[in-house]
Amino acid sequence: MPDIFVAEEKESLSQSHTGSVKFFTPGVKTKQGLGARYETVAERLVKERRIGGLRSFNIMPGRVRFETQEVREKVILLLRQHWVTQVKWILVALLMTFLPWGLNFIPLIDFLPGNYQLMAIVIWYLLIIAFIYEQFISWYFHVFIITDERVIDINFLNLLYKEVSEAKIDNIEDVTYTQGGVARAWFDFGDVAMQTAGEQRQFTIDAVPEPNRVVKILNELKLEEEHEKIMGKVR
Amino acid sequence: MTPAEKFLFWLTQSWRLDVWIIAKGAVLLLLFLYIMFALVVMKQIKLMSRAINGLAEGWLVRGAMALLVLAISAFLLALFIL
Repeated sequence: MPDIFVAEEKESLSQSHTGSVKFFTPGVKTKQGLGARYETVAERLVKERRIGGLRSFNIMPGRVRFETQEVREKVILLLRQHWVTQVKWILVALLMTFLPWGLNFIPLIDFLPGNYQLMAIVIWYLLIIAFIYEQFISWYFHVFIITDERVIDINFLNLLYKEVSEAKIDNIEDVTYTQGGVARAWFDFGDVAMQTAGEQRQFTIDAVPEPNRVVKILNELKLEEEHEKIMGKVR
Repeated sequence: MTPAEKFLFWLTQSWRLDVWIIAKGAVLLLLFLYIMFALVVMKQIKLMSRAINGLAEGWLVRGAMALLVLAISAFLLALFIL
């Protein structure tokens, strides 16, 4: 018995949205719903690529690699604390730099012979350099990486202590962000907190720029992961 | 004169112990510790770069090397001028 109605297959480019997963098939037979070709978060964000050595908000930093990265794992976001959070130690360093100038008015080391006075100032500036360098690398290497599979927090609390924690995207249950205070509202940064089902119950990214965007991308990645799970594409 | 006073007298008079020699030793020790710190920083930067790389690690390694050179120069300066 012949079919009552068989729809024609469309050849044209069509776009539709299911949640935030965008389906697109330029020049390919359209197929909607499960099994459809869709634009992944990585594919969408690659057009908005934003990379810089000292940036706090890096989108799709292609060159970035981390030690536990898997072969096909893509780094979507690389986040650091907003630069405003570093102003405190920068001011301290500036104050320390100009402190020896005050010795013209308060003769604190005048009792020392000339060569010892010189060495005292040299040591003072060496200590300032060490302070600046230590603070800078602690900020620089404290990163939060969001890949298409998981979130990783790499934290060097000081020169000799490293802490790496991670959670799979599909284990993330709830993502929230808080943004309170004048500085945070003005410079657009805040804390992103994630509740996970894994061993590490709570993940927090402190003082990250554009927290609303981070939450949005995380939710999109969660949706994508759920879609992959249904399709049986789980790595 | 108590034994302690006698000992101090012996130290300062017979050995001619100079306070500036102690100060020089202290400065050199401090700068030696600074060199050790610079070496630890350099090693740590390399370890950190292994944990995450692809950003500006080259500059940081160069910075750590400059810190080490600075520390050694300060040590040599102290050795010659004090």
